[in-house]
Amino acid sequence: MLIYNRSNLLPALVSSKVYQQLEFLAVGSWWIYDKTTFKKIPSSREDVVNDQSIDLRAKRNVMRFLQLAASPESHLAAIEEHGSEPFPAYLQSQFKISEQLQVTLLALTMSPNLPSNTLTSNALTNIHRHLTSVGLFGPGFGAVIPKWGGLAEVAQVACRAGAVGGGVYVLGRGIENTETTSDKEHEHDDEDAEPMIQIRLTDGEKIKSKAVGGSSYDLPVEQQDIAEEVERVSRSISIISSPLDELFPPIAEGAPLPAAAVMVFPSGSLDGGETKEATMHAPVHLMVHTAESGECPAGQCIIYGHTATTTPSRPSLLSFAVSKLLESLTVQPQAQVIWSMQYQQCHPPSTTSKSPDNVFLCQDIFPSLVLEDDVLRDVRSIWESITEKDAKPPFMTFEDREGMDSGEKDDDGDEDIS
Amino acid sequence: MVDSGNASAPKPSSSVKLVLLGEAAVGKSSLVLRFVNNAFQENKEPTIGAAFLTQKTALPTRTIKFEIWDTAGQERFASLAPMYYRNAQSALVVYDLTKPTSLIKAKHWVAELQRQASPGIVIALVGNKLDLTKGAGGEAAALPAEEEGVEGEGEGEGDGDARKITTQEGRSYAEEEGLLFFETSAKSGVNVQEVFTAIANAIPETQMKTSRQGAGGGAGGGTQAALGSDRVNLTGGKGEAKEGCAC
Ligand SMILES: Nc1nc2c(ncn2[C@@H]2O[C@H](COP(=O)(O)OP(=O)(O)OP(=O)(O)O)[C@@H](O)[C@H]2O)c(=O)[nH]1
Ligand SMILES: [Mg+2]
Repeated sequence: MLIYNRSNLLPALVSSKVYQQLEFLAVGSWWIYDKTTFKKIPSSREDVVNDQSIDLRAKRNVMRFLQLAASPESHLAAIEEHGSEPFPAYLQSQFKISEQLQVTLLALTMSPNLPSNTLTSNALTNIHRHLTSVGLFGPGFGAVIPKWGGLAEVAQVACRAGAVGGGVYVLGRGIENTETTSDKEHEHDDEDAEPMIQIRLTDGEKIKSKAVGGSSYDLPVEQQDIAEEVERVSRSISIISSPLDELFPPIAEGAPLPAAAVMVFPSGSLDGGETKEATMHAPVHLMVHTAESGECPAGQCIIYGHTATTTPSRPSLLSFAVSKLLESLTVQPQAQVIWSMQYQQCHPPSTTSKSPDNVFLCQDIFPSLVLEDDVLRDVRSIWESITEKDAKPPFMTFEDREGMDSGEKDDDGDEDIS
Repeated sequence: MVDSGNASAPKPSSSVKLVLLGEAAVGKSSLVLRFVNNAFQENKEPTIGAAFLTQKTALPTRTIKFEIWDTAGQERFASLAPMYYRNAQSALVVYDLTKPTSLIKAKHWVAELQRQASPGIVIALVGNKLDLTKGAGGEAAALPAEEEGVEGEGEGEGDGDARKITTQEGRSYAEEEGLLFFETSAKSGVNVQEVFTAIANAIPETQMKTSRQGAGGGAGGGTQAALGSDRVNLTGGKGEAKEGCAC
């Protein structure tokens, strides 16, 4: 999963100091599949200007669109007006952008949906994020990945920080049920007594808490009948016998080395440009990580495939995409898939089910390619509900702990904790 | 932020993740406290969860910055350990020379590390509380266990000798498993610095995450040059996207 530089997670990692335990690597180029080869998506306006394959008029139109999409005000105004239109139709009607260039702009939205299901509101929001993320942490790149295995690493580090702060972890036990006890049941009935939640763990142990938080997997929520509405994505992981260096050209002067590349197969492109939406496959995304990510041995690379499952489903679509990618490259001998696996992920529609007071349910995260801001926003609102009665500590702002770095009186002030 | 890539070229500095494992109360936190603050606390409270500290150590050719995870030895925290030894380049497995069960526990940790930690992790086996053994207190005990001194050998029940695990027993186990081996006292400070120096020396340079000052030959300058060539610095950015960088 990639994290745009503008993501609300990154400042929270900095203010909470946990970033010191993490390493982030730059996402390099976005590539788009066309017939049998990949074309690098221009990464700056300059590149667009210099691109010989786009004629002058088309260039002007694209630039006009990019200007709007990068502007904080104009893109919102456009969403207001055209948000519910399909994005390709919007590009056509407002900017006269050709179908071929629409496909490129669609790739930047990272949308898992068919073009006609990609709404202008989402598309503009995502392209705005893409454009304004570039250059935030160094020249030329707009997104990062956590080293050593993705976002799980962030969770690890957060758990460690929690443990250092005195948090107690109970592993391998779930919550069986929760029950809010009313004050009246207690003898010493004092006015301020907060209602406590009785929690029964799966091993029978009972604990009490002022608040409980978790996702629908953690908390005993009423299961609705959701079988039909579940959205599914197919995912794959493939380890490749070559580092595929040609996918990782330097990003820009003074930029870190790229550790990831985003390969986009537009809808239908794997069927030689199928155009009937009814039978077209959804966009396929392959995220290629270098060995520098710590996820595979040196001399190899690892590919994460992702596509929304359409009906009829195409179980072999992802492995087909990987083979097309390998065929398109010049590396000799042709790179091989050493190992691979595939799975499907289900996403229940968001529940509006009411949970009892002080039991907080996090929304399920859509299994997408990009970490969305609403994940942390959700956490923040829970944080604020729980800390309401206290002194309202600012969200995710922590001091360095006592004793930390205490041996560094000679510190030269460099911040390069790696 | 001032970049140190100037004339008086500093030694290259690398960071090394180190995790401490071992039974409760063997003196893990005390060893760290001695190493980091050169201090000792007679009644140190048990660690809850884990503690994180850093300390720099200067070697002849480079500076090593230890990022130390001091874990809690109490059994109820044991299941958390993988969280800490993941990605660690080195581990200090500690036992208490006066407590036989603590060596058994240490062997379990060594086995777990060998099975599950990063391949190539440098493990040091450390028998702590050397000051409680015969001949301790004086300089005699300061013999690094690495040397061929047979100090403290034998089960002598002499005055104040609480030793229950012989040097030989610890060392031969360490040799079998290819571990560094030391007997230390966090209380007197004997051998504590030596353990960390030995670990720093045992980690191959290629395993270190070096902050390559001035790497990339004049490219860019500024904060990027002080970083590894591929890490992204979340705090060194301009905080504003540069206008003109389109898609
Ligand atoms: N005599 C002596 N006592 C020590 C030594 N090291 C630690 N102690 C004492 O042993 C007790 C436990 O030490 P800690 O450093 O807290 O042990 P720990 O391994 O960190 O324990 P946990 O955090 O519970 O895992 C404390 O009372 C220390 O003062 C030593 O070298 N000699
Ligand atoms: Mg401790």
